[in-house]
Amino acid sequence: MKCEEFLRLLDNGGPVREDEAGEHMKDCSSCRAALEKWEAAAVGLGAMKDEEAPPFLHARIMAHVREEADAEPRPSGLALWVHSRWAAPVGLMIVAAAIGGIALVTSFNRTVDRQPPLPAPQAQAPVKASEGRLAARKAPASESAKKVQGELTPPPVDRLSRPPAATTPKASAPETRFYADAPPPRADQSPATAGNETQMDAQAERAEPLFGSSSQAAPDQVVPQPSPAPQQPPPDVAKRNAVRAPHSAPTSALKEKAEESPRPTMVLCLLSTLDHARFASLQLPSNAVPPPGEKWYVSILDDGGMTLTDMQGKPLGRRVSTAVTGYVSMLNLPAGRYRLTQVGS
Amino acid sequence: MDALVVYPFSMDGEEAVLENGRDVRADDMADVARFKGGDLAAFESLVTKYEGELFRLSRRMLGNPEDAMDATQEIFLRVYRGLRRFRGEASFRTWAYGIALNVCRSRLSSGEVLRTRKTDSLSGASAPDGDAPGTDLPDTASNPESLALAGEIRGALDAALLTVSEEYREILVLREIEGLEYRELSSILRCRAGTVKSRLSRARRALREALEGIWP
Repeated sequence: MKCEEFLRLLDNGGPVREDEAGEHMKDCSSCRAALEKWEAAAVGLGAMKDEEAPPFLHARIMAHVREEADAEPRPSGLALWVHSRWAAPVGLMIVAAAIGGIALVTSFNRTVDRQPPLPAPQAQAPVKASEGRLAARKAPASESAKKVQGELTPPPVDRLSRPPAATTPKASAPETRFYADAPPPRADQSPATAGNETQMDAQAERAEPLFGSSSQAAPDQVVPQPSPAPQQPPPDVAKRNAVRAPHSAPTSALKEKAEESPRPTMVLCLLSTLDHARFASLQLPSNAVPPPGEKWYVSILDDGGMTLTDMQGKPLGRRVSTAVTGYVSMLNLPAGRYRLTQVGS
Repeated sequence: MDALVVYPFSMDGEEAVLENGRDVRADDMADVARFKGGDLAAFESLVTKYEGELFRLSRRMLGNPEDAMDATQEIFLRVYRGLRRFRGEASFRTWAYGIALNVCRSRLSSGEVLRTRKTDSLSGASAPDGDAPGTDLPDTASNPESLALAGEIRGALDAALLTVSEEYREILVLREIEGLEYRELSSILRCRAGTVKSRLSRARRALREALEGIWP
């Protein structure tokens, strides 16, 4: 082996004390000296690793880092969140919660829309008869006469204090007569009759519960109780009153109010299957909706045709049927029998 | 110095570096993640772990401790600024070494360290009493062997290192002093393993020849 080869092997980090290199080193003093010097240098280089940084360097570095950290705008919570590994799961949860919230609010709004309007404006209206009706609903029939006479001021009716039965579309229908359309009392309607009408509403609610427990009144709810009214009209009279009430002529005060705010021409209605498994809301012209408290039955045939009947099973008139079927057909509902009720204006 | 054990397995193909049974690279990544979450203490942990070797690198590259401290400070400031963009393709150590070399190259090319480097080199090489260059540094040598090395050999090596080219000095410091693997050198120097080996061979020869004139 030549010296050049030995030094190349030394520079490459190869074994220089074995085989030919070892033999050459024994014979070549210069190569042996180069090897010994390099081994000493390697030890010296390795010892340099023990050198530590000045102790104040750490504080100096961190001081400058903190200074820069204070100078720069702090990362926003959003930025920190984006860098987090939980960003994706949390983001999905937020989106899901947002969708659920929107759905909940939408559902709540629908429920509220189905509720009859608050009676407060009517209670404030200078219509004694209307006040009497409100009072009659809030109190037993025996006290309704006093309230109609103005001895008692009708208490403000809070939306939240109403019975939950009023939130269901069907259960709210009887009360719609009192609140939504503000049926004016007829001149010949006595307070006792109003009380009886309230009694009938309660009976109707009990007789046809909708959506199960929602029609069950809580103990603190104001549910008209059957009153031992001395002048109990026959059922047909009460029924006629209930049916006629929405179509009764408005009082002068309500006329003035109607002139101030035009009545809506479209009325929100609920179309549901008889078992309430499915339902849909739709807006119908006010002249083509079942009276509050009543329900119509819509039968959708397999060929797309429809038949409309009232509660007694009598077919409705052509004008009303045409109007209703026109709107219902746009819902593309499957064939079957549906119940149409008015929810509110 | 704790023992450094390298195991040939890792999730991303790089060897896991264990130090006292702890995966250093995983610890670094945990610190990086905590820092990205706004924890400045995590960054301080990284400073604590790497300030020594990055200072040594700067010290050997620039030739004097004053410039090395300034450079180390700048290195960590750059690390701080860029750590939020650090994706972890390489280890934090490799990434930080790359930044450190860039800082040193920048300072060397600007010439601002040239005067002090010459002064330091001359004082180190010609120190009659064998004191190591940079005597303002605290003497950390605590045993006779280190004292001897710090005297004659270290002074000669410091001077010889400053006479070789920057390219050779980089690889000599990284390999012979810091003991980095060829794979790490390839990543830091951005060249293939074969290039690393050939460059290292030439660097050793250059250093050996430089030592001939300084340490006969």
